[in-house]
Amino acid sequence: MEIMRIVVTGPVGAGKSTFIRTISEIETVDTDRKATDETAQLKPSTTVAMDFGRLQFSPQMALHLYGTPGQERFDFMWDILIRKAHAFILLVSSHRPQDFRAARRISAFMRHRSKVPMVIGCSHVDRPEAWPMEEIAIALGYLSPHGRPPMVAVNALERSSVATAIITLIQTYAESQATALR
Amino acid sequence: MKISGYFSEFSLGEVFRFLEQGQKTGCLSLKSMDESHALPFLPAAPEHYLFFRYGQIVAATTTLNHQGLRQLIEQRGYLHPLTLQRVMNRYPGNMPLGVFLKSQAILDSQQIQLLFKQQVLTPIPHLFAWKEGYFHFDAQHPLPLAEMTGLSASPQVITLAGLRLLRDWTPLMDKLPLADSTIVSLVNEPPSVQLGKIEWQVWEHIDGTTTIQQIAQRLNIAVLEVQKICFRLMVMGMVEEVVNISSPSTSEPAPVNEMDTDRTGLSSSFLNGIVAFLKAKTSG
Repeated sequence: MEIMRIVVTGPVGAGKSTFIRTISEIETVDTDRKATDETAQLKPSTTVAMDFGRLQFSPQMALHLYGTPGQERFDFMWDILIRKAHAFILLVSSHRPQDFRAARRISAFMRHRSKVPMVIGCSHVDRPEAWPMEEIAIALGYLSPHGRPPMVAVNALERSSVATAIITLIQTYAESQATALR
Repeated sequence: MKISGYFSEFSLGEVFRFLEQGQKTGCLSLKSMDESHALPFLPAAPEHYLFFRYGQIVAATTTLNHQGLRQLIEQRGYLHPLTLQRVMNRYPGNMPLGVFLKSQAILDSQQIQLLFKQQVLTPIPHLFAWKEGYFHFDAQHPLPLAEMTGLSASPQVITLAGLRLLRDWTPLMDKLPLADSTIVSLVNEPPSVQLGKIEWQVWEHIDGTTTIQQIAQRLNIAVLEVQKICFRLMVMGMVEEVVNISSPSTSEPAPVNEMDTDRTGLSSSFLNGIVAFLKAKTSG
């Protein structure tokens, strides 16, 4: 069985659980619990362990999606996810500049612990207060377009949008594999 | 381009870092949401406007009437108002006013520098004391040449000055790096800005493996003090925080190659298959 494992990460409320639920062929494993601390102000429940979704596209091939815990605690679960992941997508709400710090923190954490390819998915881009993607990249510390991960607009509620984001991630992974072989 | 928010979401230091690193040109409007926004050294005004050119601060005003620099010249007694009026009649408006006045030998370099100090260098660091404020950056706003001395200041330097002056860190407490985080340098050379003694000691301990807590222990200073210094260095774009996993067994960051062992490469047939499968979903 050949399995690609993708980690879906991002700050609380970026749409990680929705992203996985929208594309998964199985009922996602829901580990949402009543939120505590400041997360409760944003949403009543949050993912305490991880979300899991699956796409089985042939008897011997599948794509697994893992969502990181919502609350910003980098515990052993993150370690397990990073060890297994082939690639990850960092979801950021374009209209919530207060989340850019957490997104930057997650991005630095992932970059320093793993070399797997990533894509930045910007959600809520249609909101009037949304920052443009180019500006979000700078706010996350990616100053130059050179060497910056690909950025895509994502609507976590739309299957085609989620699929497009995953395709971009897979293409990024394929390019990194080809580069490693050269 | 919509760049706006509240300091409680995105602090002024982070806004400055964004504008400097993004080499932005335009007008940053700042509105205090703080009841006690009247601060010494800061002109009392409902809004402050900072003008950026390629990421550097070139002017600061409290109105958009293009009269601010003229008023400063008058206040300092450099020119009589009637003389200044006559000079302004000759000002072509196609260069910073300070450059024009210097080129006409009306003001000298030192006077221009003092004007810039009074307009930008002295008041702006005090904006960091606002507990809450709203910011809006307009990249389409033309630069007000009549407000410009021709000098510029690095937001990095202003941020350092502002955060050093800050006494009440309450609004920034949730933005400080965590005590058990590692701090990693983002620059290869020693800092170009002048660091204080303790700032320099902290900087010297930043090696990509030592946590904030460990730095505090080694220097025998409070963890919070090191967190504040690291935050200053972070918003100056010199370092970044790397959070550690909170489990005791994995608190030391494992090398990347060790962590990659659970993962095997994927075949091209797999990748082609999944892309084709997903493409069908985008159209379906």
